[in-house]
Amino acid sequence: MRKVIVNEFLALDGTAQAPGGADEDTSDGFQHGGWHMQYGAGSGVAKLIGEAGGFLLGRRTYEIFAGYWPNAPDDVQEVADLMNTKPKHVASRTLTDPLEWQNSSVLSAALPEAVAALKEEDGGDLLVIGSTVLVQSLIQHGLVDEFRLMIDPVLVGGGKRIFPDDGGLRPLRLVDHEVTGPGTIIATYSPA
Amino acid sequence: MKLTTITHVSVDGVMQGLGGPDEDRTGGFERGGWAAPLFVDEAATFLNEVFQRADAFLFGRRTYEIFAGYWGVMPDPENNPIAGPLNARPKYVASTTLTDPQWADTTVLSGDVAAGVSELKAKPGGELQVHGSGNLIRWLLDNQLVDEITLLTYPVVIGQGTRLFPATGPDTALDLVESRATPSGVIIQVYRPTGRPQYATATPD
Repeated sequence: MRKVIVNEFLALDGTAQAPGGADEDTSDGFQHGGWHMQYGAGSGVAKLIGEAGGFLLGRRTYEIFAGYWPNAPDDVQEVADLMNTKPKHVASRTLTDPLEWQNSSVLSAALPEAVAALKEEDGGDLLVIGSTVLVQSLIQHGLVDEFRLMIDPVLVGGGKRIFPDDGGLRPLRLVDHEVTGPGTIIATYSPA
Repeated sequence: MKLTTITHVSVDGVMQGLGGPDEDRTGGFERGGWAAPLFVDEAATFLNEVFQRADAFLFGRRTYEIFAGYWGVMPDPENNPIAGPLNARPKYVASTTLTDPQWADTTVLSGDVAAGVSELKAKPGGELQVHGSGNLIRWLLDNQLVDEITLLTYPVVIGQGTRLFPATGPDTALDLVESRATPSGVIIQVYRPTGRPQYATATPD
């Protein structure tokens, strides 16, 4: 069975919003977009993307990615090719097929059923990137197999988070711990 | 003295009520004691070493009262690696409401706390440690008075309760001094604040 791997850039205070650029996601007045960029070296994300069977995305992240990857600059062409060609499965109540970004489709069933069906398919694991609303929902439905958290040495002061504030106590198991050159901690957890 | 903060947090950043069910029920918090089963071996040894190297302690009022009522009344404290230093070394409490501290060797900083803390930091050498004291730590961070941040991150998501870092903070770049994982899955992280972060203008990688 394929795994659902939630792979997130996080600031130390738990913010997941707009790691990549100032204009990436300014919702709720977020002014600190782009906080991740100086810590990118050694994050291993390109390798993970290369191995992924496909992506599971929320609507907002889908729209950000769909607006960027098809026209990405030359220096990220390798990752762009992977992002553009691999299947994107989008959880959305408002978007409908056909989607503009190549090899993208809207999940056609409720989240638990749709994700269960995807997990049964052959191929590489499903990678979730960004997609904070979707991630909270996946967690609440017990659909996450692994969290790969890349925690940058920065406090950003607020922004969207990936863990629900629903009072749910969720034990985890630390599967791996790594530190990159710039001081990012890559902590991999599975639900215990 | 350098000012270091030491905080136990969950993966979702919660610091409230880690030690026991009734430690801190503010806001209807029901998950008290979440760290206790995970606080074993290397994490416990590390914390003992941290307390041993403290020269003085700085508290907010709530943590001071919790600690005074537990570590401060422990019999034979000199035989306990945490109670020993806590009882033997000077304690400072930033509070405008605490008037009659019961724990020996306590000084209340009730006036200009920034000046009081700066005065302590100006003493040569040594380490002024802040345990618990979330409100105080947020204030110290806001006023750039923290020299070193130590976190112990426990492998659990709590889903409620107060977090260490503020929801609308100052943004601060950090240097990672050290990070390691214990066999029970606790990550020990030490950081030094270094000023304002840089933000990219390009779009995502």
